[in-house]
Parts: sequence; C-alpha cells; structure tokens
Amino acid sequence: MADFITEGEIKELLKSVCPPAAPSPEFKDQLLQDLTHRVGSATRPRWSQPRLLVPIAATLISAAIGYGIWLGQAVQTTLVP
Amino acid sequence: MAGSISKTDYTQFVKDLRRRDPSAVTELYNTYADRIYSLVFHQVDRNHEVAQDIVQETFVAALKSATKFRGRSKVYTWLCSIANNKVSDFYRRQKRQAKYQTSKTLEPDQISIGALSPESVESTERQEMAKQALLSLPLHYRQALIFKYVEEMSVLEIGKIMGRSPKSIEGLLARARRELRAKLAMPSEG
Repeated sequence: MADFITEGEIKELLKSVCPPAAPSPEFKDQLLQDLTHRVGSATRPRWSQPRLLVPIAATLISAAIGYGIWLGQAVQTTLVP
Repeated sequence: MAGSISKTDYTQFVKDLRRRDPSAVTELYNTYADRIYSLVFHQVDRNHEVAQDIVQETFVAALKSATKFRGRSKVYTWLCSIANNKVSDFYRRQKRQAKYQTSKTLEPDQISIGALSPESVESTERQEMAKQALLSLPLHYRQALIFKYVEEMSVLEIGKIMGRSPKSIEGLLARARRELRAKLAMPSEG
C-alpha cells in the first residue's frame, strides 16, 4: 500500500482526517471577554488602575478633611478677640 | 474577508496590535481563534478540553508579546508558532505527569494502529487508519505534516513556526512522509 501513496494522496488523506474544528461558542465568548479585560486593564492609565486609585482617593479625602479641620480652627482663632 | 485581514488594513492592524488596542485584539481573536483551535485540536488527539486550554494560553501569550511583534512574519504564522510551542509544552508536561495517558489522551507513541473494526466501510477504515497513523507519529512529524498538507503552508513558513531552516523542514517532511507511509502500509505492526 505504501508504494501507491503519492504526496497528493497524503494531502487528501490528511485533509479528510483533520477537518476544520471549532470551539464552543461559550468558550469563545468567555475567552474574548478575558482577553478584552486583560487589554482594558493594561491600557488604562496607571493612576486610574484600582490598585492605585483607592490609596489616591483615600489620600485626597484625608487631605480635604484635614484642610477643613485646620480651616475651621484658623477661622475660630481669628474670630477670638 | 474570512480567516485573514485584508492587505490594506494589515499594516495598521499590526500597529494597533503592538499598541494592544482593544479593537485590534478583538479582530485578531475573531479572525484567527477558530483556525488556531482547529490546528491545536488535531495535534492533541481531538481533546476539546486540552485544545481550549492551549488556545487560551496561546492568545494570552500573544497578548503579552504583541508589543514585540514586528510584523516580519504573517500574524497567523506568529500565532501558529506560539500555539506550536504550547502544544509541545503540553506534551512535555504530560510526559512528566503521565496522568493523561490513562484518562484523557493517549500518548501518541502508544496508540495501537491494529485495532480496527472489520465491519468498517473501506473509506472510513482508511480514514481511521490514517488518523491513528498520524497520531502515532512523533509530535514534530505530525506538526510538520499538518502545517504542510492541512494548513497548506510553505516550507519557509513552517520553518519560522518550528524554528528550523527550510532545508531542515524539507528533511523533516520527507522523514514524516516516509514514516506515515510505513505506518499505513503495516497497520498491525504499529
């Protein structure tokens, strides 16, 4: 049999043995979501990434509160005769 | 155009891909996911779970290395080379763990070619024989044959994917064909 198998026949045989296969639509959707999520989080500016955003916001809020307290005390001091 | 990106858009596409632009990543995925899946699926004994894992690893790795992609080879060739490495990694891991041998996938070298049903229709039997013969080949032979005859790639492209010179690929293909012919000629000897 081997002597009769030409290159063309090998091609034909392999094509019939390896027909196109497709992944399940669920898998495709899930992987696409995963990839776009990875790209989204990587392309977002560094300061806006959740890991950095939380401490930045906390610092700003504490600074605002501190300034408010200081301002209140300063006003009180200036009002005292 | 199904399965590829038009030439006019290609340069821009590569630029966008290197910037990891989300729309380019989506286009990359939508254009090549099925082809890569199909390629991997036939290399891992038609195991859907394993094929899905490898496709996932391939696209994640492609994303990570997208910034380094220079566009010297076709995007599909680049993806194939990543997938090819992932398939080789899978078989290396499998050899180490040896857990898939009994449960999910058979080690290609251990598949018996002789176990064919006598009632099979001739063409189906021939196909089954070819399938088993292909699976029983060493991985690099199988990969080279699939790239050449199923994907219809040039020797140059296969060389890029497998990290070998075109001359070496020609030799590899010749040996792979010889072994495939021998397996098909002597099915019961394996």
